[in-house]
Amino acid sequence: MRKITKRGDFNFVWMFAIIAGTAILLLAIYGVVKFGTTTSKVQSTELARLVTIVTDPMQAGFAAVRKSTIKLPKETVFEVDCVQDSYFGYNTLSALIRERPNRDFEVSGIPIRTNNKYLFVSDKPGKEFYVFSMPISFAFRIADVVIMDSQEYCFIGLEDSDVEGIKNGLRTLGDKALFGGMNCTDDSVRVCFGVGGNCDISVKPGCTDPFFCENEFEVGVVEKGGDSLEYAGNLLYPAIFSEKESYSCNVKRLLYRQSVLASIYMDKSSYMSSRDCDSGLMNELRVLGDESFRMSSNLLPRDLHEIYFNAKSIKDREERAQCGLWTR
Amino acid sequence: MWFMDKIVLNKEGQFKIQQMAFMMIFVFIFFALVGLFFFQISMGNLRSSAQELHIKQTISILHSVTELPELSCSDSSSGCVDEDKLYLLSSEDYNRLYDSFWPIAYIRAYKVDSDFLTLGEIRCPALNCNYYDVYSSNQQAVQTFATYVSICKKTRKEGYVFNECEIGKLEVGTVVLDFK
Repeated sequence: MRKITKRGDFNFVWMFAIIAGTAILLLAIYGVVKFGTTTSKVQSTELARLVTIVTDPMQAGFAAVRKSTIKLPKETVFEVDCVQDSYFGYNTLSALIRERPNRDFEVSGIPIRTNNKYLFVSDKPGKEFYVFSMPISFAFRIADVVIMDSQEYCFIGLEDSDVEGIKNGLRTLGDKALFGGMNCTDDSVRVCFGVGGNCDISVKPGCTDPFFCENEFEVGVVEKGGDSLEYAGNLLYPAIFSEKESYSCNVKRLLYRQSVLASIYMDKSSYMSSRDCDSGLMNELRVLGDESFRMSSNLLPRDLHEIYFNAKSIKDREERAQCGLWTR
Repeated sequence: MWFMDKIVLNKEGQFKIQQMAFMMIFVFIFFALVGLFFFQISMGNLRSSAQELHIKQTISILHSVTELPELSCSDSSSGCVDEDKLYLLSSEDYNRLYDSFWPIAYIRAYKVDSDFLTLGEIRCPALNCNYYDVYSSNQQAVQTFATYVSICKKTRKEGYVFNECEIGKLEVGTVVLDFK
């Protein structure tokens, strides 16, 4: 009798221990996995936040271009989302880190929202990213766009001396920029300026009249992966380095900011008039502001080229005016 | 007395089960506490790095804010703020428009030459005003960073066009993150 009872107790105790032990172990494993995921998420979020901070001083201002390199210990992909709301819109930046080689980019951090930046980021993974900013001016400076990429690019068809300005801009990429078809490597992205051939990206010139343009590529179209991205001025660079969706959303955001800045300059002009310093640009600024506001919600083909040349003539007038609004 | 034996043994079995159950609960609570301890440490690090990043961003904005076309004297100037633009951005219309644009708590520009001791702080636009409230999110707990700038406005006097400038102090504030 005694023996039987003991065996019954022993069995129950073991059963209880196994069930409770398994539950505790499972809970512990779940906790560790969850903690690991949270840590990765924190790291990715911190990285995205750091990148937005690093790019803050890239609001170049009086300097033409600013560049920097971001070196990361692990392979990372950056994702940029662009939202155009009724005001200035915003970009969100998130980072995905590959924890171990040959594994997927599993955990994405919390997207970091930035309202006053225009980010054009390649979706290709890398450990070393070059970052540079380009001022975008349509008559006056609107903002500095930030471009970030890790790929090597090869530029073909930039041999003429009149495109030296574009070449200088692309030299910002440092050793990731190769010039001339002979120097291209198998891994580099081939960008062809006006020439045909085996190209990943083609830049088609849109300016034929040398009276209006510094070179034939001052305005034009960038063709990549079946998409056509219209550009004018320095928008050439974001058009080469970003995807269509992100590009057109950020261009609309820039146009909205231009419409607001035009309104600021109109008000400034009226204050200056009261100090006997009239710029004489009120009407032109009103037209420019209205046009860019309309385009910020509905951008049609050739719109960018039209507003660019309109802005260029306003800039010429402003530079000649005694009481300039945005030049010294 | 065989049934007495059985009762005693049953009681002993129950006691063992209770002992095991308590042990399991204590082990679980112990590991939970250890986990909580590590979680607390990592959360502490996370809080401080979040605040640090926040401050870094504010300082970097302070350096770049004078170069924004909304405030800069001209497209090719640095460290110079346009007084007309300050006046405009302080107005309610532009304040509302730029509400979500600034990633900081507030931006304020002081005219340093003003006699603050006698006059106190007078918000522009007003007679003898000495500061512009470019943006304010009405946050209470803020940490302030400042830099000196020139505040200029273009004017014409006796046929000459020139920039009339005075010394200013640009102040930006960052929200002190509250994790309670």
